[in-house]
Amino acid sequence: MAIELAGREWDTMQERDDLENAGIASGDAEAFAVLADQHYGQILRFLTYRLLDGELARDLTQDVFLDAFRHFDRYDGASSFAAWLHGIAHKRLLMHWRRARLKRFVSLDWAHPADSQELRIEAETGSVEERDMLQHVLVTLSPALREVLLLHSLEGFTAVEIARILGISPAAAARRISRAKHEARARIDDLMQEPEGRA
Amino acid sequence: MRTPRCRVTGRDLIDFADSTLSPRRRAALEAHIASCAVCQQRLADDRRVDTLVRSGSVAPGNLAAERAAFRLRLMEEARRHERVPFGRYASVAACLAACVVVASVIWSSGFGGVVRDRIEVLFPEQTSRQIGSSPDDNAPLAYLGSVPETLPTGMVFQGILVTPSEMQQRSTYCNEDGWCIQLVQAKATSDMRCSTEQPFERVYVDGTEVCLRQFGDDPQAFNVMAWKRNDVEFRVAVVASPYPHAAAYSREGAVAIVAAVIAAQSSP
Repeated sequence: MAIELAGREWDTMQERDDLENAGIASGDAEAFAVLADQHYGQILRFLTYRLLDGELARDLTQDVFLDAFRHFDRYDGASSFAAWLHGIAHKRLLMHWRRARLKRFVSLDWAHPADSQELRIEAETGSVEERDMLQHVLVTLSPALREVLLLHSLEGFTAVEIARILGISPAAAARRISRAKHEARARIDDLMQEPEGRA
Repeated sequence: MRTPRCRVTGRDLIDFADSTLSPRRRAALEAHIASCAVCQQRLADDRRVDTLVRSGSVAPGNLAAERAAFRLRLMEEARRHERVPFGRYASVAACLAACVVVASVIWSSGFGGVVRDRIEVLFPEQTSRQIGSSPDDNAPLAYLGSVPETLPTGMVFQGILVTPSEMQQRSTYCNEDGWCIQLVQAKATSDMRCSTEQPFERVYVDGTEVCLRQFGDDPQAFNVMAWKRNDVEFRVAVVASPYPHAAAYSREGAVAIVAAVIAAQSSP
């Protein structure tokens, strides 16, 4: 299937064939390790932003790539390999939250916020103010909106690809992205109107 | 957000930014945006959010170390797959098969009675169900011959374990003195010839060649008797006795047991 990604035509079936020819499909761990190296930072960053917990994100990233290695035969080339990996990451996140909810319920500790707010964002290209603004936006957005915002704005996936990753319709994905950006803008505006801002 | 004249939705603008609209729709939207200040502002706001999100990065720590840690885990996973080529179900099946083999070896040795006694004490219900005291649980297989109700030296039928997939059944008999034997009946798969060398001894009972296996170093004690009749293999093993290190019959006792089983097969 040919899709347009970041302004260029991307033949996902060709990508799948290439990966198969590289020995990934036959369980060649060395070949898979080379492939994983190319995507590792992207998945780790995505999960760290989503979980706001670096340690947990590191564990889940390993799980995502092991899942991909074990079930590579399920990758049918309908989306890019990166999108397929993000789909696995999404499912892993859902499993994690399901367990976390159960744990909170059992321990009656549900009064705590769902996510730890200990995310430390480095200003890569922007200023310190921008870093604080981004941190505020990510922490205050709902998990579902934060996820589509990261997939679209940070990872560069289209609404069609995000729909596949999340298992929703392309229309619903586009609406959710639009809403996430709208809410992000509102958070930014709120912050701009508070001169003392947040530290 | 939308002016009365602007019917462009947020979804349209996302698809426009993704370049996933049809050429016709894209051209129409481009023409609209060129003259719509609201849409221009919304697109600019979206780009501002994109820029903000891309401006920061969470510190992933030492990415090289993370990759190396994953590589180790991956290789471990790959080695596990190599050791078990058919996956986790095969390993479970192999474990079960090993357990069955070990259990059968223990049962057919002199330790069977001890094990059985322990099981009965700990799990009385499981034991009776496993042995199959009710004919409904484990109906004997007719093609393996009949199952005697009693055997010499007061041995009384206790139960039967039938495994049709292996064309085999195991009946257990015990007497009040604490002796137990197991009669195994199985579909014969090959000719059975008894060796005349130690520890085996060949005898004939009612015209049937019977192989006796000597128990330990004692040439007068036998703990296994085996023979074949009508394409069925019979094997009697002493599985429990009141003595911890002696679970065997004299030659006369062994022959009496065999004769009783053969007689039961011959009776209508």
